[in-house]
Amino acid sequence: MTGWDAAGGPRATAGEPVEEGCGPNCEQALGRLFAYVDRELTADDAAQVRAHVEDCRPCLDEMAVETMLKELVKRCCQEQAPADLRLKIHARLTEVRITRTV
Amino acid sequence: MSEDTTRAPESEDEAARSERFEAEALVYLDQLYGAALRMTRNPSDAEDLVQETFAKAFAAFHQYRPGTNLKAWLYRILTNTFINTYRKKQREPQQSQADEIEDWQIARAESHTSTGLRSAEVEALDHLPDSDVKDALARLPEDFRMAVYLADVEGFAYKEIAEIMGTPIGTVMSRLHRGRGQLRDMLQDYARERGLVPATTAGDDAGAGSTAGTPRRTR
Repeated sequence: MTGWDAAGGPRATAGEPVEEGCGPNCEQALGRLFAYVDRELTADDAAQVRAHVEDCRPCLDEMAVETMLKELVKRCCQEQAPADLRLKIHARLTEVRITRTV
Repeated sequence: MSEDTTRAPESEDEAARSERFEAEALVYLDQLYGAALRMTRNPSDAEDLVQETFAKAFAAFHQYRPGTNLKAWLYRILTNTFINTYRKKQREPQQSQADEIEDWQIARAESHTSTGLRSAEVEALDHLPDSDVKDALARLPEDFRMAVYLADVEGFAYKEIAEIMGTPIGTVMSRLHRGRGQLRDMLQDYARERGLVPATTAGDDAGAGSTAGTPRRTR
């Protein structure tokens, strides 16, 4: 019905591998997907991507993976600096403070 | 009174400045340490790098304009310090990795066909231990790793990453794109090794049956 369907959509015949998504609309959406998950698209472009993935399973799945990957990296990289590092830096700054004010 | 906080205080003495620095900049210690750890890939270098970064930042703190992005400013110093001091030490393994970029890209493009594996992939990624993710990140070429870290962990905008890394936005996007592609491929391998995804390859039983209305999860 929509223009997206005309471009192929997720209608691959069984047994036939789907080429890089499905059509030109997918290519466009896929090219923008990572900018979309990074919230770097303009409102219009983001709306276009959303509209496309609503009708296109492969692209929706792709978006799910990209989103998960981003969350995963964030989740796994939360670190706490060693307590003595904080003390070392604090001491260094205090030293500066004292030597300059005396 | 509110005027004082928006202007770089010229009359501020060293003591007052160091106090302000501690109050405003030191809150980013954990984050900078986390970034340093990903950059240097070892805790001892990371500590040195962070100390050096704060020392440099303090020395230049009078140049920092209050009200602008302090976090991005600190990250720029961290990144520059890393590039100038540590990158030289670590150069060797990085370059050989960069040569593999094209192969990775090809592998990525091919892996795009199988829909059935996609939802399984999301689930598998979710179950990977943190250590696998850190390990995969550590194996990324450095520029890719930093771009991914700054975007995903710190949530910097492309424009900010471009400023921090001193590159055009297009380069940031390319590094992100390739970095994530490589990361994803590595994590897929880890997931397979851990038995989190079926060992079947795309085309066997997956993908092609992706007609509309297929349930999201395949098992």
